[in-house]
Amino acid sequence: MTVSAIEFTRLGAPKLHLFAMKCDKCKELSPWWERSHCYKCGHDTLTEFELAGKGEITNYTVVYYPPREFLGQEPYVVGHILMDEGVTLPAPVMGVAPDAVEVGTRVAATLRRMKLGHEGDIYYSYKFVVDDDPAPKKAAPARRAAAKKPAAKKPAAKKPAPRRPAARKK
Amino acid sequence: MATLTSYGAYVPQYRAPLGEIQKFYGRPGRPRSRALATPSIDEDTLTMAFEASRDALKGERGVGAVITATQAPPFGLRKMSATLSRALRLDDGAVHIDLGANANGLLDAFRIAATLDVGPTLVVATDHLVAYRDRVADVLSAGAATAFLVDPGKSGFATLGPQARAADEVFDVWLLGREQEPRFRLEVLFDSYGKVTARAAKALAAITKRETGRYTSICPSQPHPQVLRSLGKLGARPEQIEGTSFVGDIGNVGAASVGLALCLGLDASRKGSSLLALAYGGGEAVAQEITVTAKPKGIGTRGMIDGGEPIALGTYYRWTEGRQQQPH
Repeated sequence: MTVSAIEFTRLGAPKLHLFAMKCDKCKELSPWWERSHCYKCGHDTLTEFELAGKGEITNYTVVYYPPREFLGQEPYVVGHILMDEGVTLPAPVMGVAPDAVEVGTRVAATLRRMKLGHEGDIYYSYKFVVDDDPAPKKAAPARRAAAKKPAAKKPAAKKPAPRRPAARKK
Repeated sequence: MATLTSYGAYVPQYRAPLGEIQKFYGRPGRPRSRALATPSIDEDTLTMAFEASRDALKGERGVGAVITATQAPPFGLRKMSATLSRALRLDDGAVHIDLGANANGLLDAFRIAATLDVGPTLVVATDHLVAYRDRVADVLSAGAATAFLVDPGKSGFATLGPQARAADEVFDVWLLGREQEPRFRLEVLFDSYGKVTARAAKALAAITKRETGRYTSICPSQPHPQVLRSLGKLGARPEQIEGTSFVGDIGNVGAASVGLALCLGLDASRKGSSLLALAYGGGEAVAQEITVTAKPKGIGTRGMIDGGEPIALGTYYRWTEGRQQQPH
């Protein structure tokens, strides 16, 4: 089996299950390829953390001219998926037409063939499909929740005066 | 006695136009199915098995054994059951068994699961054989997967009853010299379809003392005209097969056939229903009685079969023959 050394150095073994890396110190989640240190606190011990496999699309692109190993699958959607646990992962989104995909769509992880290697060897990995289940009420994404908190604390949470009317008054 | 504690199924989203496929390959005759359930280019028997198993397990991970039955495993050397087990993150100590199976592989797997002393067993039947111009003869071939959790100790919603078998010598599939792909001659297969199935059903009736016509539903791997004629002679009624037939909708799904028919039967069953699972493949027929002891929570199998998105002939070709010729 011909294996690209770069691929295996950077990406590791084929991914049969979906996980993120959790910092042992600050508990921050990083994508699965971050293995050396935590980007938030710099701690060097990260452990695998299993993800439930649900999330939503935060942005996406449509691939019309894919790399050689992905030929035949085009056009396909690749999106950034904000997982319910709070970590963002890039992944293909299948079963949805390029003109039908929307930011905010709920998606669920599934196992699919990622590509065929140089000699026909199969690479499996996680992809996402549109999920009909509504978003969980309690388990709001950690990152979004964190982003909302400071906004709530701001003393100037009272609506700032609109600029234009003020300018007009002058 | 072994029981079924849960089940799941996966039917691919896409439907290929069988009439156009037959015209393209120069196959005569009226299409025997409205469409073929066709897995996408990034799906295969393993990914379909994963989907069906995930539905059946519903988060359960304490599985003692995984048995997979398929005619089209994605690997030559690696065990499909072990890879599936890793993808589902099941217990490391689980026993992994691969069956090189035809349509009766699922019932073979039930038999094995009932004898294993390892706790719950995940039994998965998954298949996707493709009709090629020079290769596989059956142009009805489609893809699907079904999964059942069999527990010899726990009381589930259905009891796996006795099995009966019958076999004939047929010359259906063979490998010539150094050819990579097996050759098929189905006309010699069809001869034994009806008579072997009827023999198995009769043998089961002798064991269970229940006539074929007295089952709530009959779940055959394929309602072939010869099978229907033979079952009719045994007293089977059309309404017993009506709700469990799907080949006319999505094609023949090989090893997953009897599983899909069973899922349809279980979805429609209630407490006290009795199902007759009938599988035929490669000259051998297996019949098994399944008794429903509590109404199972349906999984909507009929909806999976009736739904789907049509694809063009060109897409079907690109996803099947084109892919095989040029892996990239």
